[in-house]
Amino acid sequence: MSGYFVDAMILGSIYALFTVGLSLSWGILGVLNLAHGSIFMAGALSAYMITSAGALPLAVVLPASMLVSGGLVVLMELVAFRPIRRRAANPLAAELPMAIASVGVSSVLVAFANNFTAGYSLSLPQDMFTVSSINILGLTITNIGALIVVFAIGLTVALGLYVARSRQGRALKVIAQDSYVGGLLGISMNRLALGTMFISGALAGCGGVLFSIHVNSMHAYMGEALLLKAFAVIVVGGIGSIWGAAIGAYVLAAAEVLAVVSVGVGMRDVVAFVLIIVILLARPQGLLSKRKWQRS
Amino acid sequence: MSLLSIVDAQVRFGGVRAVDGVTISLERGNVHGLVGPNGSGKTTLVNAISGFARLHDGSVTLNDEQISGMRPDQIFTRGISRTFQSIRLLSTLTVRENILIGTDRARAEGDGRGAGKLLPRDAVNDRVDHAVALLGLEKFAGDFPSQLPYGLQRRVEIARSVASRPELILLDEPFAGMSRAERDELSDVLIEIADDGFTLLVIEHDMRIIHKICSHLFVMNFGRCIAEGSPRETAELEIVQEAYLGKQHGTA
Amino acid sequence: MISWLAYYDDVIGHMFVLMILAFSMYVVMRVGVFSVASIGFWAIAGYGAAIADQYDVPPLLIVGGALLVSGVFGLLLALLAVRLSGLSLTMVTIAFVLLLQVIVLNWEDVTGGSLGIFGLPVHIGTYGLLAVVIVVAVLLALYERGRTGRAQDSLLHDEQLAQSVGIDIRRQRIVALTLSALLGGLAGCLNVFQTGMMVSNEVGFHVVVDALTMVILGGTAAWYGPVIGAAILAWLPQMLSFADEWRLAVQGVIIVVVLVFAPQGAAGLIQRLARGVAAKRRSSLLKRREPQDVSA
Repeated sequence: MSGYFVDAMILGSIYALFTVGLSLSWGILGVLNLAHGSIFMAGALSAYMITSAGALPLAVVLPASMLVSGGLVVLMELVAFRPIRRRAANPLAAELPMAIASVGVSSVLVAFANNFTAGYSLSLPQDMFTVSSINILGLTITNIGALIVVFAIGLTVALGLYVARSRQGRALKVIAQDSYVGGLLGISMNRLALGTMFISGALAGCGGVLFSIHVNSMHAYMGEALLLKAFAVIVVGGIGSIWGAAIGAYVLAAAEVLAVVSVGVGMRDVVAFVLIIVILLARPQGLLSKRKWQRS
Repeated sequence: MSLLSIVDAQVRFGGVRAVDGVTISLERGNVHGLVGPNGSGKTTLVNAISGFARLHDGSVTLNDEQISGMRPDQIFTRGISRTFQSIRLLSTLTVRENILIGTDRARAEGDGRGAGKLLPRDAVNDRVDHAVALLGLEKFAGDFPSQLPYGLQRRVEIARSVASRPELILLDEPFAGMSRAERDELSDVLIEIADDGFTLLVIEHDMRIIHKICSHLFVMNFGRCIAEGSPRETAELEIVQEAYLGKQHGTA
Repeated sequence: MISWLAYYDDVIGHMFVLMILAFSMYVVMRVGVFSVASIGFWAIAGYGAAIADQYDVPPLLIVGGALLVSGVFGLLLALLAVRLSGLSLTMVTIAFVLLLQVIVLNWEDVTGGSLGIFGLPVHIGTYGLLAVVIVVAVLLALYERGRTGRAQDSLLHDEQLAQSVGIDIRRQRIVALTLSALLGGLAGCLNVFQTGMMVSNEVGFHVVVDALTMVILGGTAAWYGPVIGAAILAWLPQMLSFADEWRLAVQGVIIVVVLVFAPQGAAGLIQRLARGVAAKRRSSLLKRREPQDVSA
């Protein structure tokens, strides 16, 4: 029984690391970053590339990979999202082109990864981080599993507090409400967008590195399947909500583990879709409603 | 019976009461003015009438049928047409096609319930020709909006509304950004439209224009209608002067 | 000329199949909706056709069945999706495709897993496909004239304006999503008839990128947009034969560049050019006839 609990905790933590950033950039900037899965993958791949140059500990590799994946999303913002936003008649009109552009970027990243890995699965070197089993409060968990849980909860709580308490965090909320008013208050949309995008990418990259150690494998499409899970998490937690994403992540993970235990492995990936459909049927306006009427 | 009655309308955005208990009625054939300082709730009231803003409380009734709670497109087919503060023309269509859009979903005359059939082709052409003539756009019907000066683009929007032959036309700051000469011309056109039997509600700051075109005036402040009556007597009320304190008339 | 046609017969045939898929993407994008559901119906109809073909069901019956199933499921998905707007609607369509991917890979008995279904008879040649494309293109061109075309234009450029002139956004979207499902299903079915196989790749990320490349490159201004987009995409592998493994990257770059620099796509540029010519001709006519008195 406790094994299932540990499984759900680790799975939920991966979902949280992945989804918090995706939900944040959607809620605040109207960017549905469909390259988020590729960014997750890019984090893991960059760790592989860094360690292939020389043996380094995870304490060095992880921040470096987060920097790379965060930097990639910042690059997306500069090259694609910002020019599209600037050109659009209003913020709402930029949302769909930005989402489509993110598929384009994702395509470039996947092509790069496919060529680099020659279509095979890779694993990160053992000397970067040695996986072993540990015992916490009577639960048996791998040290990497424990690390994933600690990072997910730690980073989510830190980010949640930052958005709730700091001046920049409150500015994010104002922009999410109305970017026009944000401009009046002297908030620089561009700077906040860069910050949000960087955090979003760095979190995904962190998840990618830790996850690839956890399952001892990485490949070009490793992030794609997570998008479906992230959508379910966002539907449960609400668009743009950090706490919602965190809670939704563990709810989904628990539901998946439960489905696997009670029905079978085949059910695991269907749970997310069923969750999306059920919530949409039950509360179509509720959980997903956002900006309604923009100033004319 | 009034054409349109608004009873205790309330619209809230978060904690802000943008429209806070407005009760007014519009009479058939009148040109109504709607004035008030920026942020007093004028546009929100127009949005509430046209279905773009949801009422938290109160009701809007057109010809005895409650229209509050309906979607904007349903309200349009009931006979209320509106323009927006910013110019909303489709750059890919000609002036005539832009006006045609107003008739595409309009219902045949004599049916106020929105269930009537779409208009036959010749009726559409008659309406569009009439609207084009009324707004003085004959020469520009084949042009694209981007080729027209700002003032004429405004006229195309009004023509689009007129062509749908609505019971009520809502104009959100139709004079904004115009030169004095353009304003005078457009106000003459609005008077002609009213003479043609249309009922209008016009948001405008310029009291000179208001005095010229309106027979009835509503003054809003802080989401409430603080005064109404003929433009002359209303403008002289102390409460109205106070609302405008520090605000120059005639700013765009 | 004849030998050239014979040599490139497969490419040309595939181009026509792609055109129908592009039409499927186009009809929803044209009303301002970013949906990838087309790929879902492409896959459902593709597998359906491949499976039915194994049991020697007559091809015409297969097409009819594919249209029926796509139409019914398309309508159901549309009824669910139109309760949402913008990115949320996009998200549901992506979730739909991701779920199908999971099902295809796991339901090996029926779908052949990652290998797919091979060795089916070829039911349609290049001329047959050309005929289908012509019929669909003519129907679309007729459909988007006049009242319906103006409604689509207003939905594409300004939803609020559309509502303010009495256009029921939901109804338009339901019609567009259902039509898109029908066309997607038709394309998926014809794809199997032309190639004689259905592989799991056809549900994957690269079909999404293909479809987006076509519709972004061609633009949503008029029916000939997707025709142009599909024509270019079909010949891309020939042009890029030196760098086939980078094809996804090239397409990704195309998507981003077009969205940033020419968001109206090829059809939009053509329309704009035509408008410019028309405007010039008119103004020179006016000048000759009467002195201008634009009193504004």
